[in-house]
Amino acid sequence: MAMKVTIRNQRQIIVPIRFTRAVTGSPLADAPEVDDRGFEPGTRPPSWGHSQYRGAMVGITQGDTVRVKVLREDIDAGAPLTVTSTDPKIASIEDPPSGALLGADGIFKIKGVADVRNKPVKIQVRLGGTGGPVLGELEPHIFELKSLKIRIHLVTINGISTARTAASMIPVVQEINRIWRPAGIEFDYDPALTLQENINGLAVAGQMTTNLAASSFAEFSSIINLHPDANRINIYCVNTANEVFGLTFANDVSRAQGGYGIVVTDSSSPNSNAHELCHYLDNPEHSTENAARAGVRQDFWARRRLLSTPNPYPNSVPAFRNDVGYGAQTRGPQISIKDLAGDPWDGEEARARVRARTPF
Amino acid sequence: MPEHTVSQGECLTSIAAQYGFAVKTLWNLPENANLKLIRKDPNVLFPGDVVFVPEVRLSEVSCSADQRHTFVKKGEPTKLRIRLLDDQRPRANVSYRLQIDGVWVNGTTDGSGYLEQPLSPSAQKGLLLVGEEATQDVHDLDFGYLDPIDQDSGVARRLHNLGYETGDSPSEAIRGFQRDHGLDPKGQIDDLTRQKLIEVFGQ
Amino acid sequence: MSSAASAIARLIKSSSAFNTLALPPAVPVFLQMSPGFPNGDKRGIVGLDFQVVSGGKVISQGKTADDGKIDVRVPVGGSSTVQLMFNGAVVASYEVKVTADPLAPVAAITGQMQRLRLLGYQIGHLGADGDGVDAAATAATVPMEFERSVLDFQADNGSFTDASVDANMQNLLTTQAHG
Repeated sequence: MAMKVTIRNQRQIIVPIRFTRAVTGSPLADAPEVDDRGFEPGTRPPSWGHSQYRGAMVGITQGDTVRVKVLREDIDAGAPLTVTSTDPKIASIEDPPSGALLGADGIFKIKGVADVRNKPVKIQVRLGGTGGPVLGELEPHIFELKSLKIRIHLVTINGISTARTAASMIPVVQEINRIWRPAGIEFDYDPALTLQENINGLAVAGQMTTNLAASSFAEFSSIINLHPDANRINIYCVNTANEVFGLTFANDVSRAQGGYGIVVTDSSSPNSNAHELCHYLDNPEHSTENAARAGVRQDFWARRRLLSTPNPYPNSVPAFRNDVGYGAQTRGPQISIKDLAGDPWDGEEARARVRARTPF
Repeated sequence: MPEHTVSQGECLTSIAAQYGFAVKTLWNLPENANLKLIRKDPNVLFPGDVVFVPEVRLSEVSCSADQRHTFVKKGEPTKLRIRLLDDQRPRANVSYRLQIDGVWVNGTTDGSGYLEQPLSPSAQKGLLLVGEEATQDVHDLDFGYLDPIDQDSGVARRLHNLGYETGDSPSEAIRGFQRDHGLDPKGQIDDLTRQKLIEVFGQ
Repeated sequence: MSSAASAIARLIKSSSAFNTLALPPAVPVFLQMSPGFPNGDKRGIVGLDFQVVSGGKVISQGKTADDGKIDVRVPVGGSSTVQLMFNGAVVASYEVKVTADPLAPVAAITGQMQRLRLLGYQIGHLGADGDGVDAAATAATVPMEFERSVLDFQADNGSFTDASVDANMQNLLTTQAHG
């Protein structure tokens, strides 16, 4: 069906396609979020490949094959499209096979062959066939996997314990790893190394009590100083907290306050725990905040980010903001790749990967 | 006196040629005085108009049988004269190819964008290709289809030639023409607009 | 009535009348890989084979250059179809109309939709013209595609990405849409 165009003010631009996540629903290692925020590439580390392009980006762990979808936004639903890579030695198209057209669902598969350092590559959507004109471009960033060891501490406060166990943390860490796959980071959890911790004398049994407005973190500091493992990221599971689902000290200033660490509550989701790890890896601010750190953003991009706060978020208007592809009122898992001038707190992936060199 | 009812594609030139009369002869007939009053331009008639055509008079000429004789039909040289514009600018000195009922002629428009070619009174279809090969404009022509300005079709045809399409939303086309030619863009045809249409279109 | 052919009168030799054939103005349509007019970079879709059809006839054809431009002549009040070709077959088409109506005020959602659509932002296909410009839209009823386009525009212009079309964004929209 032909697209209708009404030319106003004597000029018209048409952009036929865009890219998006292949599916909706829970995070999947082979169906990552796509950083489709605008068409500017933003600033990024010099060591990343710099192809001359304008469009979306997707992160891939080296060796993985992921799915991405092409949307025929402003071109006929039946227009024949195929996908090629400018350098199959860096990123190759696994599906559709060379010469074949995209199916009606527009989904294709990219394999991350070589690490991103100094290697520019573009995925190109072409009209008609592999020799056809390029309608749009996607830049994949392929990362050698960094594996970061974590240690879980199961904390009893004034006699009341966390309900979590070494075994129950296994699926939690698996979900965290699905979320972090596009950044080429995984968390290495050995259940056998889990520690039981006891602490008494806190304000409320089973609860970590804080007063964030007054910058009062004394109980948090006490908890994260319970046998921290100097060679692992330490995550402390407590039964409840009065103000948060999780709390993290994430920058060097916190060393003076008593060290790095993460505390999570029993009611926190794996997404929430992955969110804390993102803070830990040098990303302290929330996507919903403006430059002055006021939580003003309600738009659906902000809510699709792992570093959105809170989770679940309240319903908003218009209604499409209330499900950003992961369920009603559920925060997305997107770890943004682009560092855009217009977003004060994006570019998490690059910072996380730098911090991942020396995380403890 | 016998009548000829005009159908689409006919004009006085073609009718006169059909019956073997000079255009002036028919146009000046007292029986056609009313038609002349209403239509004013003999080559812009409307389907349904009635033209009175006298019986053909046999003209007797004595000639000797063994010699060749030449009879010259008093014909009316007929032409087409087209002014080509590109967005209101004359297409001066551009080459064109014109096919009239299957026969091609070449030419170049003059300094004001005009082209003039002889035209048989019975010619019906034309194809005008303007410009160089890579960016040719194509005009499909119907000879004798121009209707009087007081008819909707006369307005529509002139607007069509000028790049305005009445079709589904005539007011948009009319408004465009009015706006482009310094008239109040009301989107409806009035006498001022008709006058301007004749002036810009040329007839 | 509309017929693809142009009426030409037969004229007697002595007539001083003429019949005009005027081409409507060519309007540039840019097929691009990303929205917005280029800002020191190239955004056009290069090497696209196209035809422009009006009144059932091909009125022009060609192949796009770096800027992805197709000059489309559309009769005022009528439409033309831009057909994209591959290996001689039509693989996509766009029905193009031109309106001379001025843009709606940029402070109104309709005006914002018009300008975003003009600049190639993918605002969806609701609305009377099938191109996402919806005269009845309110802040509560805009579709996801509109908010996405506002955010895209903000990101592309280095503005704070909060989906709110403030005075700064309205100025940027007006400047870039040439009105």
